[in-house]
Amino acid sequence: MGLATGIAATSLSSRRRRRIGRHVQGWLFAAPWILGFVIFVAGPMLASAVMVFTDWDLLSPARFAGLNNIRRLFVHDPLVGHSLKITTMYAIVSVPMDIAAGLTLAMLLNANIRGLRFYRTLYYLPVVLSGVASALLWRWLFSPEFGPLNYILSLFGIAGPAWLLDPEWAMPALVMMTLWSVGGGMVIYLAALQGVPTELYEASIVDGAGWWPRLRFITLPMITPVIFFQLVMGIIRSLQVFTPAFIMTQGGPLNATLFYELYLYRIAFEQFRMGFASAMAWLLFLYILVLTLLVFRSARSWVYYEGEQRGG
Amino acid sequence: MSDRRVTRRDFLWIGAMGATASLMAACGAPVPPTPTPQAAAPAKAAAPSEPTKAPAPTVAEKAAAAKGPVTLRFLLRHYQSFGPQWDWIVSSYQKKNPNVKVEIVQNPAGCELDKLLIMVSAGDQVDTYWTCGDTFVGLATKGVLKKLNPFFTMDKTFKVDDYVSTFFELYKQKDGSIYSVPWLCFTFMIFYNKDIFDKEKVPYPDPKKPMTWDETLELAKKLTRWTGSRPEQLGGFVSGSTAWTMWAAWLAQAGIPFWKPDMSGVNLDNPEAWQVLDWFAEWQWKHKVNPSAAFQTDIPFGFNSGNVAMWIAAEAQWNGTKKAAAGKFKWDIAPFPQRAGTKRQVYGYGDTVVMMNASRYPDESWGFLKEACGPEAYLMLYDMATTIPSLKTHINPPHPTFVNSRPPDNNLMVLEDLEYLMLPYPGNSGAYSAVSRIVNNALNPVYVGKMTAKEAMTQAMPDIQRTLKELKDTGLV
Amino acid sequence: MAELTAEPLDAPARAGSILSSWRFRRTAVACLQHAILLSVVGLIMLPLVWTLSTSLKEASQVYGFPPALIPKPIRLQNYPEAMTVGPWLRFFTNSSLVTGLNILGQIVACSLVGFSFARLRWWGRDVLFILMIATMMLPHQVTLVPQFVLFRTLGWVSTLLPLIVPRFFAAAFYTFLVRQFFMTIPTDLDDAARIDGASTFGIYSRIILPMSKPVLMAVAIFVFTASWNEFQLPLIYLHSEQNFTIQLGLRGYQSLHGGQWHLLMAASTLTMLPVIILFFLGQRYFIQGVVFSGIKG
Repeated sequence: MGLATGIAATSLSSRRRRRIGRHVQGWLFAAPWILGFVIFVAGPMLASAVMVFTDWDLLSPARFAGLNNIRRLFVHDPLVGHSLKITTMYAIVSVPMDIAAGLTLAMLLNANIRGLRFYRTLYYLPVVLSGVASALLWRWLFSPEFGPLNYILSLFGIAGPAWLLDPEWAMPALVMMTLWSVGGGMVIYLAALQGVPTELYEASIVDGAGWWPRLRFITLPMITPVIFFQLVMGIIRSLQVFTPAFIMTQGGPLNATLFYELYLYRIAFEQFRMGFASAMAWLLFLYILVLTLLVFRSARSWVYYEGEQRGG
Repeated sequence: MSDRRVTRRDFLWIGAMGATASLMAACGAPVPPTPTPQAAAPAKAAAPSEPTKAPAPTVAEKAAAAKGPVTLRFLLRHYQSFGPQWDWIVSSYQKKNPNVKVEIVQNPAGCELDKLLIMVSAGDQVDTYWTCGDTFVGLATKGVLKKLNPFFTMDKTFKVDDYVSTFFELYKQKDGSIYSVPWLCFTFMIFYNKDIFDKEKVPYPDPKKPMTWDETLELAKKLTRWTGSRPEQLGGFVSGSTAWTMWAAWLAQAGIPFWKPDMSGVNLDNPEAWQVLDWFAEWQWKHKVNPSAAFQTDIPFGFNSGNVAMWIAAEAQWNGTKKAAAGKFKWDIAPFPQRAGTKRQVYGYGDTVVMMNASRYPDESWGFLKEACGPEAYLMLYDMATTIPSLKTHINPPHPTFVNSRPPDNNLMVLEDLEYLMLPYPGNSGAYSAVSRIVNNALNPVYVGKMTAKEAMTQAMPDIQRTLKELKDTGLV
Repeated sequence: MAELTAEPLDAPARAGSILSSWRFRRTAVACLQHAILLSVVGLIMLPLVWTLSTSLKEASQVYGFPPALIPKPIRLQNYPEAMTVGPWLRFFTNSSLVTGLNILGQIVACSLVGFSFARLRWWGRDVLFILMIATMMLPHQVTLVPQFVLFRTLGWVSTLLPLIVPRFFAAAFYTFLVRQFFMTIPTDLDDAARIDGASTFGIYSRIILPMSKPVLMAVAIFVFTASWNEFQLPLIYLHSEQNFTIQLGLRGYQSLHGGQWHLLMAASTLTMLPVIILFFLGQRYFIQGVVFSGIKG
């Protein structure tokens, strides 16, 4: 009896020890992120959260401002709403386009065709182009009189628009510009396609399935985790879009490309209102968080994980 | 599957590649990425770590500072373009003040206000700084810059009256405070390509008598050649880098001040102003003597290409044009066009050097400012075609160093221009820069003939008013 | 099946025709693929071709109108000339140091953390995962100043350390990417290994890592590109030319030679070159992908 209890007790404690060990192991493996978060990320994030409730001009001590900044977000400043609206529109257009274009390219380049390396390198090149040189290039490309874009259009008898100078065309021009670096997404999809087991394709070919069923029922489901990744990152990135407008249009013409983060930057570093800028930043944070959580929620019904049933 | 499987060795290979690259780099780099004592020590000593206004140093502190070796930190933007100039100033200053070492914080380009602001607010202070208009007023109003008036009274070797007053007024505050001394000064003028004038058999513009607006436009039309829808030679040109200020110059020329009294608004809401803006825009979309001015950078069809007959720009461009035109085409300058029936006016602008309020070594900093803007430094600047004189002793009579800094051959014309100098937006360059960006953005569709100035300005006005109000609320106006 | 039994004699002929039509279709598909790929290449390459062509032009040709695609004469001296201004070797060395260490740090750190999030079950995992994703959602402009204060306290300002040390801790973006890939690897492999007595680290290093070379290569390429092209952080943290990175050098160069596009473009072509070469070489890790003929690559 006593012996039996003893055995039971040891096995119980060893099981618990093992369970605790599993948790410890998980934390240890995740430590390279957790430590980095605690040391380098959490502090500055917390500081910016505190700033929301202050008036701080960066140059003199901050003053407590209560909820003024938050009230201001919703009442006094129409440009906050405007910039959030156009940024959202930008995201709605550019995220699906980026995913579709990247995926199409990756599939075309995952085949066994000649010059594969050549094509892949060429498509990745725009991502490599440094920001310093690309601003010059794009302004030249979109120049109404001297740009090659309108020159090509004129060959087809089309009088090109004034692109960056026209309130209606500035945003499409910037969308085109960001779509240009679709090579980044292509690399991710290529890596994902590599992971689709060849056996599945062999089986489908033996079954006589055409390319569409193969795509629909094998390829796409197998790479949904990566499409999910691209969707989440696309939302996060496109709602934080900054550089194209910063270097190309300065938010114009007539605020047509005044992205949220560009406006935020101006509030912070040109108007010296770090408190209000922080309030804007945290509003965007919450907006993206809600959208992302919705995507995470939906993931359960469309993302297929070979390795794990739970989570998403 | 097994053939696609990758061994651990391969993974290590990727890591090793990274490590090798960095090792190679490390071997090539004699200086390890650890703080060098020179760089780190003054950074720590320079300022309090809290973003507070540093109290003025006490007399005892100053005395202590004067005895020991002093390191002054100077923030230099465009460190490559203006490196030679500042190296000269630093070494000249250090020669006279052997106990002071000037450390240059190098910044690759432009008015990178974010870098300066982040440094200042995190306590990584500099002592002096070569400012630009956009950043100046904010920093002055927020008490970051040191008022220089006491130094003017204290230091008998420096006289404000030695300088052309307009360049001092450029950054003068409403209450008479002066925070800066002029370093670069320029006025706007016409650059013209003599070869094109010769080829078209058109006489050069008169350096003594400015053309009227309409004469300038007629001349530009005469010198423009289009083949089909493509320009071969353009008569007039306002380049991107100057376009953002040019409309203000045209407006001021037409007698329309930029600000309404007390900066309660801007004078862009009336038919006279719209007419000027439309006229300026028509150069581009209607007469096609000028490509769209909206480009903020040079497009590959600038004056320096040799395909443009006339260009409206400032002395700041002399150096670049000198280099680009050497051996390719001959060029010279003519006065800024004047609207018929108005008083002659020339549009001027400048950059200054300032001192930070938190500087622990105000006397040394003042000495450095004086050196940068002193007569010897100016001579060096003429040599490098960087500025026009703003010291009266160099203007009347013209200093030989400036006279000899040709081309342009008509360079003495700018000294005459100084009599007609005006500031198109006096009072607050920071507010001007915020408002002018809105105007610029609104003008883009006007330049391409998509909107009239009236429509664009009407749409932009609420934005301008709100920005002004915000600047007032935050004390920047 | 019914057809085959009905006409057994025609079978070889039929097989041949199926084969030839299959071959024909494959050729047609390949042609179509090339047509699509090439036309997109044309669009995508326009600015880059122009960069290259400008970098080989004489100053006077840069402004030529209409712009000539092929420079005449080709002026290779632009490259050495562009490199004589400024200590480019120094910039290159600094950038290589930062980039190399970043790749090393991120590959090790992100694969460990990604493994933990994808394959291990532990208390707090899902919350921390969402937290990690959330760190990417806050605009970085508002954390710049607190971050600077932090690095200043550590005495790292005006050194390369702010660009290096934080990257030895896993970045959210790459960790998320790696985690997504690890999620696609079947769990049976882990279970089998565990039964064989493998430790968790053994599963990570012997099962998961070897199967993840494509994504690790993708991470390496992304980190390389991002570090090599990074502008804002070096701008804020580096105070002297001797520790400038290549992008700061390029920016200074641009301000120095505003109008001299041929030199600027030569300089920027040179800065792009290492990334292009690495990408070209590195892509063999995701090149042996699916082959539709059924022959394993």
